[in-house]
Amino acid sequence: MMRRLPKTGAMLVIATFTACDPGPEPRTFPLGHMSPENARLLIEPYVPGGGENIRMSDQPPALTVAASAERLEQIEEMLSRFDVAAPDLRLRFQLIEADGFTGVDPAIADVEAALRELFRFSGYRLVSESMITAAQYSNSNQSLLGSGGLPLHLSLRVGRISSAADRSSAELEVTLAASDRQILNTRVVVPGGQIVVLGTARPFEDRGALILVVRPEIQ
Amino acid sequence: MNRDAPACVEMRERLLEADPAELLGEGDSTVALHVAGCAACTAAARRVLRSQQELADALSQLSDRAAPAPGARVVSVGSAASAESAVRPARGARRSLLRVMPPLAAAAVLVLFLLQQRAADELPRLEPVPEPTAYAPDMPVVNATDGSDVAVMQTTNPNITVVWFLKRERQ
Repeated sequence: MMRRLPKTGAMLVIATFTACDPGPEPRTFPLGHMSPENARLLIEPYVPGGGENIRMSDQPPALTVAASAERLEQIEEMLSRFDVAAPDLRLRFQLIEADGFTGVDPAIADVEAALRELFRFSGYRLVSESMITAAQYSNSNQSLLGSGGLPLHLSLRVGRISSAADRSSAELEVTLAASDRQILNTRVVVPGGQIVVLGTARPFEDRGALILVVRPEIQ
Repeated sequence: MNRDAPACVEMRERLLEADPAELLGEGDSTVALHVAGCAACTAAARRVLRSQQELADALSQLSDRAAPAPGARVVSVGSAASAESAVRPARGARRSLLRVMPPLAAAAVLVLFLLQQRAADELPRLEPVPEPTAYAPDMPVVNATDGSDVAVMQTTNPNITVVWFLKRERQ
């Protein structure tokens, strides 16, 4: 029996080490909302071996990660926090031209009342309207017609859309341009329920002030 | 504190020499205080404790097998050497133990070395990820882009903010 003890010592080493390190095991995490690439970027620094132990699938969207059980549980927790549905964002844009109008348009009554507090334009007219439904971290482009059929280009870049309890907001970059010039460009974080009125006086020599009303609905 | 911090790297080496109480974060030594306040080093200390316990158990079992059974006499009672022999393992058993101890010692060293290697190979422990917080200001926050001057104006309607571009954008 004693001759077998040295072997027992070696086995003890193996057994002890094996007990400490059960080794990596693969686990697949289906993704409901995040892209596999974004999810990989998120978790890669925490996976031993990095990208070598992560596989992505686009259809269905999923990540397969090989790591220790403890690490896999932590990754699962992380993904469950970030892989969540972003609120829906619907944006209503109204293009308004100022000056030279006397009538009252009920579609812009609330904005017109606010503008009359600040400016002395004789009147405001709704020229065109547009609706965009956008996702978080997306870009959208639309054509609008200005007065006299002037073609305008509306470009929208949506950043993060947040919604928690009774508060929400959307990060937007809005650009309004004609074929030969940029008229308006700004980045703005708009809380849900707020209306942002972007305007500029006389972007063209032969036209009045141009106003773009941004009405986000975050659901 | 995470294990990438210099203090944690140094502490991982000191854990291998620390007393069990220190590994449990008990006492006011540097090691104990660090272990008590660092989740990553607490986990490492527990691994060392667990390994030490497993080794101690294994050594204990092997010593029990190598020692004479209770009540068994290796030599006959009555000789001058018998009293001493009765309380010491027989020469054969001592030789066997001497043969066993080097590999067991090597095993212990190897286990500690491997544990240390594992600690060095480990990535930072994934700390609890903070809940993504929603950034929802009360009023619109405007960032004017380069080349434009804007005036942000509030109105009596609390839901309407007017952003007026004072200078025409460059082409």
